[in-house]
Amino acid sequence: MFESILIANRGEIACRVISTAKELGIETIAVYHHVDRMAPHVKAADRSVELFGDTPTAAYLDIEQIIKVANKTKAQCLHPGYGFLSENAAFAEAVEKNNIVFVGPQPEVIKLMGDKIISREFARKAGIPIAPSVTQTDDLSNFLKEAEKIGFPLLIKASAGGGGKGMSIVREATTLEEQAKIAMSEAERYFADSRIYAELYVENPRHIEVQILGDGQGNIVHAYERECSIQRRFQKVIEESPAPALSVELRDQICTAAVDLASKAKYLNAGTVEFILSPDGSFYFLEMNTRLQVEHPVTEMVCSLDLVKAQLHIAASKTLPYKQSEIKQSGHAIECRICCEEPHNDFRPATGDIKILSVPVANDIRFDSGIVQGQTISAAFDSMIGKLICFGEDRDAAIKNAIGALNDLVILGVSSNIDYLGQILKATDFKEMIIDTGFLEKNKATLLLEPLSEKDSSTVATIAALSLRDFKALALETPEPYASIGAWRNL
Amino acid sequence: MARSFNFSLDEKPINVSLIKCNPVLEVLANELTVNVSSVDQVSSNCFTLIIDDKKKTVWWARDDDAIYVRFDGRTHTLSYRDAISASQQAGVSDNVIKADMPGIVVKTNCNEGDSVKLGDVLIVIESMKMQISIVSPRDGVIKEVNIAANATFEKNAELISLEEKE
Repeated sequence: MFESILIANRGEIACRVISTAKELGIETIAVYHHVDRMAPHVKAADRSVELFGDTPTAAYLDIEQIIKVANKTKAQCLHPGYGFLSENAAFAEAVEKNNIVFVGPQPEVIKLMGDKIISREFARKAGIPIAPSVTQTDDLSNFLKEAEKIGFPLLIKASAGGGGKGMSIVREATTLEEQAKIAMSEAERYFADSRIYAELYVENPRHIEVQILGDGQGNIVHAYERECSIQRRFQKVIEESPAPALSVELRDQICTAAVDLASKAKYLNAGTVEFILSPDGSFYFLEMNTRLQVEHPVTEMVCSLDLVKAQLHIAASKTLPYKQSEIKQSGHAIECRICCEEPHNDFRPATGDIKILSVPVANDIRFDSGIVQGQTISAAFDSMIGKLICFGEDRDAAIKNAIGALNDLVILGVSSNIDYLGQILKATDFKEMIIDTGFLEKNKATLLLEPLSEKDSSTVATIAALSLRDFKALALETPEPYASIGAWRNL
Repeated sequence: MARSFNFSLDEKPINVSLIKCNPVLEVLANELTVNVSSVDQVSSNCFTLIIDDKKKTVWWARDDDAIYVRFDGRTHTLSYRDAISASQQAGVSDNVIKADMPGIVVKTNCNEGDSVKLGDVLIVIESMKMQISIVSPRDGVIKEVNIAANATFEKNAELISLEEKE
């Protein structure tokens, strides 16, 4: 095993990696920008080195500087966490060039999976289902014929494009030609390239992903699936494992597809293969994430394993720590992403000081965070400050546990989505497993908290008054016969 | 006159005053009576209480004008300005109480010639959807009340002037 590790990240994931590394007796080296000098990941690490940059984010993205620190501190390996440089092939390459072990896949695999079109083609060749599609070359009539064969609804996109420009959904054959022509002219206008592309549009899809581990030789094990359909603007909000209402056969097919893809890529270390699941049971490769995922703890809970430990084992020995038969899924886990934002204000990111932090503690509750009481949440980084992961014997028990844990999680001083997450877990559709990526939009009306009644407002204001020293003093000073001994105790 | 505590919740003003302290606290919040008993301090920012016969655990925090309270799995954010700091911020220069922001007068509690004590509520104003009590910065006599209920005023307007007690 390694003697030292540099964690090229911050926040909860840096704390997460440090915790396992310490357990394994590995010396931990943190890096930080000035704004993070008091942050928990800096305090948790054995050593820490300051990074400099024009902005805090730029510091954590500075490959040259991080490599320099790793060399200077003689780090034997480097864990990139998620985000920042975690899926940057040039970074992985630079790390290895300096004889430091990169805790992640090979640079060429990062590059391969990082390109949507190339990775999709790779998946197709590996026999992994991808959404049927057709690209227009020259002849429009040929394109229309092929597109019609795929069936409807179809999504038409500009070949060169992105960001929704030149994109439209075609629901019936009669409008296909007309919409294709509109898409072509838009594509020409925006990208100076009129070629278009059509693929099967999956309505009400679910997002299912599979955790895999590889040894770099083509041997792959999976740690089952995660359901990640509760999303807002393509950002996951709640994840769970196992995926609800998924037949054993379908789950096996999806996990097998993930293993096949990773095996073909001779994938090294931990990775995640993401799929789109259609309501009719067909599923398609979406992309592969070549790093540890934010939502990895739900897998750790139901499979009773430590994925960071597995990553370090693989990085050190290039062998897998488990046989497939040793990985068993039992119980149910749900993760809620805690973000500083204002759900009532179109989820605007919120900043401020964490005046009060109180976290529920129990065997079946895990709070992964990079925050402490008194910390300032600035606009410099992502709004996600932690994750609450709750276990239950079954899904209902996990939901109940998570609702209770959210109730008991206190973060005051900066707005958060804690109460909104509670509303999601209490929603009838969530309980009844009516879930797809449109869930939050469809249930929008029921997810916002009801406005307070007059009586409730009075209760809230009275409670606020009771927190005031002046109010308490007034009550205590009030002369007999109205003395307040009756109401206040333990002063 | 009971001293009132003025909050703003969801952009609506709420006025809280203490009516009675024994055997339970009786509070009037926007004309509704709320009964409180068994207030137990759990930690510096956490207490339990029985409010209208329901036991609750309350967490709270204060950040300048903002008060955060959390109970029953829901966090509420209120604005509050305590009377003293409000009057200080209203700008007390010598014997003149000025407005530090534009607003409207909700009510006046004093007339020319009245003797007032430190902390007495002289007028209640509303500004930025928040009701603020302007209290007397010291003992004295009201020399002049320059505004009446429902009148609007601009920043730095002279609201009330005081003079020494004879």
